[in-house]
Amino acid sequence: MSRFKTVILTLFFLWLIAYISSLLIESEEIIDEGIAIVPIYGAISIKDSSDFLTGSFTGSDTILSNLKKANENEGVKAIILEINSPGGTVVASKEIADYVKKIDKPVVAWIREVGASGAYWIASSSDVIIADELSITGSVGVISSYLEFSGLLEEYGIKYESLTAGEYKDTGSPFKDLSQSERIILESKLKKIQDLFLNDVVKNRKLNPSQANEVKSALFYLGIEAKDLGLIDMFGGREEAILKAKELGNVEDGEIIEYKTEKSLLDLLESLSYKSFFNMGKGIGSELKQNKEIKIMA
Amino acid sequence: MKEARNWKRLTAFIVDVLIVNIFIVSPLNDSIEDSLLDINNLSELININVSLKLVWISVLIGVLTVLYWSILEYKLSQTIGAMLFDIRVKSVDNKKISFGRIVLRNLSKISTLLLIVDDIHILFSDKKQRYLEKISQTATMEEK
Repeated sequence: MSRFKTVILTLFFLWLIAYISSLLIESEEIIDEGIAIVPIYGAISIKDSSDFLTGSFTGSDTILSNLKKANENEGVKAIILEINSPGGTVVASKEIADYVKKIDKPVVAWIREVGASGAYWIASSSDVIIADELSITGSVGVISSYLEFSGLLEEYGIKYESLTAGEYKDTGSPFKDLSQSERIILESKLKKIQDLFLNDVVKNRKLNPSQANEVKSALFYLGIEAKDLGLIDMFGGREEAILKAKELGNVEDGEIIEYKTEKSLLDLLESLSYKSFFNMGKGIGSELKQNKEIKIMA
Repeated sequence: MKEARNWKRLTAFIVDVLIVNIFIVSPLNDSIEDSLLDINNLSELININVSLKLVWISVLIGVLTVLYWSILEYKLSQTIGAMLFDIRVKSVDNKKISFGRIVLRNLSKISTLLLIVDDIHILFSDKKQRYLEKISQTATMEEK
């Protein structure tokens, strides 16, 4: 065999193995017919993040990537959103809610322990919402809060000097008192966000004016109350969610693919501690901020 | 024949690495990127599921890389890079080099770290041999 032929054959052989291996690595998600489960766990932000001050966030990037994979997978006939989240930042929640509406396959939202605030926004964009009688849902409101240190600084004789061009440039700085006009401005922004959030939920769930008025209070509801208010469609858990998804997707039998967000060892350790009720409060609560940036949570 | 000069060996190696990148690493690029997408912060580097996929891809690339050097050196006594610089593998004991010996001399190419450690031996070797070249009784030579 000529040297040239040997070289070409060797390169082709190695390339072929690499190419086939790449197909095999990707083929774990290929199915003929089935249901995809996409989990939405924990507080939602743009990116996955985890630190001791703010806790851990699930990124909308990760959730959207999983939803896109499920939507583009021809074998997937319906998608279940497995929700256990107190909500998250406004844009991240809206991004997911908007994408869920664009999905051309049936989407079933299955709320577990909690699906409130931004997480409920996402659920409301699906075709059917299933929750337990005791699940926590609703909380269609917006909150922005931060710790203000100006009193503490004053006590220690530290003076905050801010040089700004523009009257409201340092609005929300934790080192100074919020003025009345700043408070009005911030509240009006929050009102605008809540209006958009509420209108979307009312439209998604086809709520009547009385229901909409009730939901507007941003109160959270148990599953039993949420069903009466039209916030959820039926009670149930995983079994019911799968049955509903199969019914909507016309799947007789079929596989279940879980597009899991991988959890790290640190996440697992963290989940052993404080999580559930702290997170419930966090979605409708605040997070510690050390600079002037204010995170608005839905 | 004399021992190949270091600059020739290094340049030939760089050419071969480029070829390996094109033919072996490129087809696996998407899989590598997918795995890296799963790693968003330091804590996820110790995620067993994510790591396993990356480890599997890395081992596969390593094995195919060793095969690239081994097949070409066994069949032609030289890789594409070596052809360009006229260097080739020779047996030190004048026996025909078996495929096993060729694989042995290239084993360190499975990992950059191993390769660096293996290469350090050249600096202390009279015959300019890597450690695995010495073990496999082979050497890299060039025409005088």
